[in-house]
Amino acid sequence: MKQQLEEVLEAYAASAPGPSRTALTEWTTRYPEFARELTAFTGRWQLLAWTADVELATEVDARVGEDEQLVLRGMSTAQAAFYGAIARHQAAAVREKSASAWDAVRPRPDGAVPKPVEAPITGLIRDAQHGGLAPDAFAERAGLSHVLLRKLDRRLIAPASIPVRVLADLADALGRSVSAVQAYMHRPPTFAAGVQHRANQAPALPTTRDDFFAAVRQDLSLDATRRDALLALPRPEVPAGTGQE
Amino acid sequence: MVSGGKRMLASPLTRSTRAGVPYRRPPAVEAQLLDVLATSEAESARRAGIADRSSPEALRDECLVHLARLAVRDGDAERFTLATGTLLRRCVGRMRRRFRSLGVAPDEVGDLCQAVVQQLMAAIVAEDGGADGYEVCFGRVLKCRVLNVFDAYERRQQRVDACDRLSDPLGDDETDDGTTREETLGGGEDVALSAERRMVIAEALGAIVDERHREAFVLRHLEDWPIGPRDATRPTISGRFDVEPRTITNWLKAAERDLAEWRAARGSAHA
Repeated sequence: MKQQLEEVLEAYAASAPGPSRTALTEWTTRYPEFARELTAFTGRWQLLAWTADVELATEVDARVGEDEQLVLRGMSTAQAAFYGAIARHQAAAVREKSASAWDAVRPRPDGAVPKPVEAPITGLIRDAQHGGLAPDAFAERAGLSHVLLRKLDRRLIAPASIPVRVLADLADALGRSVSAVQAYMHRPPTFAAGVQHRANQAPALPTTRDDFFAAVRQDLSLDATRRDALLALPRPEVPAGTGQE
Repeated sequence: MVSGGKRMLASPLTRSTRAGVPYRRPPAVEAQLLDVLATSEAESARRAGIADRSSPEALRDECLVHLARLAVRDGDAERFTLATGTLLRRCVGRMRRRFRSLGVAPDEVGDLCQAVVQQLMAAIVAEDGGADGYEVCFGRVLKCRVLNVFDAYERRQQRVDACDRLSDPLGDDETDDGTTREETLGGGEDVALSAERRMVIAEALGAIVDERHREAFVLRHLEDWPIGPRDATRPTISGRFDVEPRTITNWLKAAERDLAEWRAARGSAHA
């Protein structure tokens, strides 16, 4: 009932031309069970239109400090809401991933064979080519430069530093899941496919991987707009003590 | 915002009115959203940080809500903070004045403002389209929230109906006392609705001590509500407060006394 009342009041407030004595007659006819509330709402609405919705010149300077405090309190509330939503999304993603992983392997009552889990990505660029997507087009679709794409393909970028948005764009371009791309990034670094080396010693891969954002800054092939867009992406949070690089 | 060469489009609204009509952003909001989403993130952020609505590059409140919702979808705390910070700087002053005008004590205004902000932020981060209304008409939906929060506050406070204190008849009841809006407010001045005139009216109304008297005065003299009867099929002031018409008449007389004092004080201040 309370929710229904709130919906009616919100619809009334949003209706054209807005709450008034004329509109009130129409709305109380439509919702007689809320006549009292609609009437009180209209009275207060009109009171505010003549009082609080008019900014008095004398008040502006006097209330600046008070308003700043309200803004700070409000921002604290906003941050709590934001991170609460993020945490809920992540928890839901974990539950969904667990549920689908279990669903893929759990025994069926009728003895049917569980459907196979998603095949691992063999190589970002290779898998894209198998799907008919040339490297340049792949880089463009994923919002990256060719240089960055190759580094990601060789897993030379620290997986914990790769923004979620980049993983999602790669997955979207490949037509694969984000978890498959994440799993790929966590494997050890590799040489570029098909490259031959001539050296007196066996070539070695770097012992530490680049930070994604540092790699973006060093990439001279990126135009300024794209670089700024990538650098503005939020850095993924790494839980403490996980040992992730 | 251009991200990786891809243009972002404004997501459609998903909610409908009670009549089943889908929510639609006004054309001006849609146009501004398309414009800002086509720019770089840096430019979008710059415009989202402009709190002064009168600036030609300022984004509408409805657009800021949409940008905040996009930031939640992308997990971008910085963009979310920017958009919601601008929204708050724009609306807290008005929320505060509204609660004070409704009679909330100064030391309780902050908590009520927080309650409204909580509802706003919960709607923005929710995935059920709860913020769709804010993208259609932010101002009206926020005002509606203020009144809902005040209503809950008033019920919690369990205010004593003070009409008993004013139930002694002081004059004719159930009839208009014959004063006009002009005579009551400004001593015969023409009540033009210019911004300056509205400021004077607002200042005068602020001099009426009791918020019920103030509301009754607004409804009678500025919105032309009839005083009675109490049980009516059409809206009346006595029906609004559920008191006898003579009580309303007494309230209006009390309001007039407050206004007379205000005029006298104003007159001596300008002497």
